[in-house]
Amino acid sequence: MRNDAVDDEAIVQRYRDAIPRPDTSYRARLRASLAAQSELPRSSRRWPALSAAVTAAVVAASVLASVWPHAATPVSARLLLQRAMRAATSPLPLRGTSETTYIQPPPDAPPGAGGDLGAHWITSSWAFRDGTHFWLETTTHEPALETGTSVLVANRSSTLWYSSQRGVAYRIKGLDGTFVIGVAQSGNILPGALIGRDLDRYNTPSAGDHARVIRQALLLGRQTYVLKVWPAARQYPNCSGARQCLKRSRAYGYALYWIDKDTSIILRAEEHGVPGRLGGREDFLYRVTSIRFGSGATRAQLRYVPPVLVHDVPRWTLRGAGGTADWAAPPGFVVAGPPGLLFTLHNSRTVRDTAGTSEFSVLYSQGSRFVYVQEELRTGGLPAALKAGQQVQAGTCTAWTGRYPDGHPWAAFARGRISILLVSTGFSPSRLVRYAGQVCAAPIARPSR
Amino acid sequence: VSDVSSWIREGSHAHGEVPPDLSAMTDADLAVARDRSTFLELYDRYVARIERYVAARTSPADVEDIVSMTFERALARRTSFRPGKGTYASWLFTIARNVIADTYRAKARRAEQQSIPVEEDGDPGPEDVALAHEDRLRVRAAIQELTPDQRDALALRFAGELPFSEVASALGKSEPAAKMLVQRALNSLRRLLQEDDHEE
Repeated sequence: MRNDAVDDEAIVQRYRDAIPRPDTSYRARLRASLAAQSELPRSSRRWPALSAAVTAAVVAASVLASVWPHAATPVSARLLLQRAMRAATSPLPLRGTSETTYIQPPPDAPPGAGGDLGAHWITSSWAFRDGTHFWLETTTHEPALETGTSVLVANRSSTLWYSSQRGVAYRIKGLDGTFVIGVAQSGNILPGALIGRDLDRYNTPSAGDHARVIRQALLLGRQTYVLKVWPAARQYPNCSGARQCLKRSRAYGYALYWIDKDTSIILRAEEHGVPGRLGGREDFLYRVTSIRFGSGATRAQLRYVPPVLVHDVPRWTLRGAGGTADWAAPPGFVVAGPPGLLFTLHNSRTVRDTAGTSEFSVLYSQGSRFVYVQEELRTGGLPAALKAGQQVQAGTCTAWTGRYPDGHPWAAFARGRISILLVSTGFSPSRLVRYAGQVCAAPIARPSR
Repeated sequence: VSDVSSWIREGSHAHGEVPPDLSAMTDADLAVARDRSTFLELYDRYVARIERYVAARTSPADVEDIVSMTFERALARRTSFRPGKGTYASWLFTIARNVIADTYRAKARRAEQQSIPVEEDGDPGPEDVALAHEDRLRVRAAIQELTPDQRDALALRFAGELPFSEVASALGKSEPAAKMLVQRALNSLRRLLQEDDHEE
């Protein structure tokens, strides 16, 4: 009997695996169509007591909200989170602009310089027709070495990504949901993943997270619920296994969301009280700066043609590697050796994506002195923001130097398509320029045979 | 959070409307409330299961149309649902069954189409993926050898994830008869696949 049950499980699993997986992108359209069709004349209803009570409460709350917008409203935080996530990931036709700022130092930034290297300022323009047809243009203003514009266009038949910084464009056929969500909703551009994270944790009772509507507010002329979620971040020290880690976790900070009443679009998101030492973001602020409903991505936007050759790829990839073992500069990047005999390699980091290696950095240290070298593939050369400093000669390279607000000196120059930023804690500006001259003369890494 | 299309945005709701937590309500309470938001909550609860059931019984190209017709018919006939006569799930799956039957009757190709089609569904890729792909095709071919009742029962039980009581209700059979039908379908499927293995 027991063997029969096991047999049944196996055959059932094969049966389930054999069911074709259809394209599900129609669901949002169908839902919107059903929503438009589903208004009923209210006079003909006959409800059981429970449903009548629930619906009466809905109607009463609706009336109260419409005539008394500042009344305490019995709105469910969980429902708001659910709606906000759905609206973020499969939106109505709309277009708008937003701005995001936060601090997130690179993992190998020298101690004390994370605030300068990690400051991010990103603006975006977006136009959604629905969850599978949209156009998203993102401009990075800070960090200086990463300035540039990228365009992500999804039109169901293909998803295209263009980077002005790298001078590349890649396209995959169909819709790679993981990639689209990862890029468009990563929280740095649009806050879908952010609210998705909070919803997941809120739905896990053992996590002990909380969410509450704390007030209503007017934003961009629209009525919003202000939702508070806490904690905004957790740290899990010295533990193994979910239960043990959860028990030992330390919670930090809180997040606030301004959620549009009519559409559940997030109009503003903030995170407070998350310490930078957690390695994540701090001082996070996302705000919509303009929004217009009913006018989504245009046909021209969905047929966007980038100014470079488009490469078709089967899938998107993004890989990072770091540490000190087996360290080597990736091919095409400058082999920036240590600034002195007593300096040792402290950390390194390589970021590879579909287009190849995009970024490489090393951190050398000697006692409390650190020198950080960041190399970025930039077809347009050194960004203008790094030419705002003092122009100097570093060996045979023309470089620019300056000091960050916290006093640490920096130097920057380009070698071909590689832009290089040097930052030091413990060096004088002139010592850093001498090191820049050394890096200027360093060899370019060749592909290994 | 991995599938863009699995998220469905909340339909536009009336200005100022503040609904209760619908996720805490039962299917029956949602169904009899007959409000736009309650119907959409039911849609959210069932669209994936209905879609999977329809995918198990029809061609992938027809899934969108049949799922759409199912929910449109459920919306149009929502006043006919009576909680005392069965669950909302069995009521909805019965509609889906009828839509499938109507669709293929209208196309006059019911006999050929009311089973899982044996067709390619994408590039099989590397070897292990290719093997899994081949197995899926073999299972689909074996399913076609089952009787229409058996195919339907399997789809309701294992694609629609209905309990036996609701499979029985949707098929218009007693619960023991529905269990027997599913068990016989599994036995037949197992035998067909074993025969297939031996032939190889």
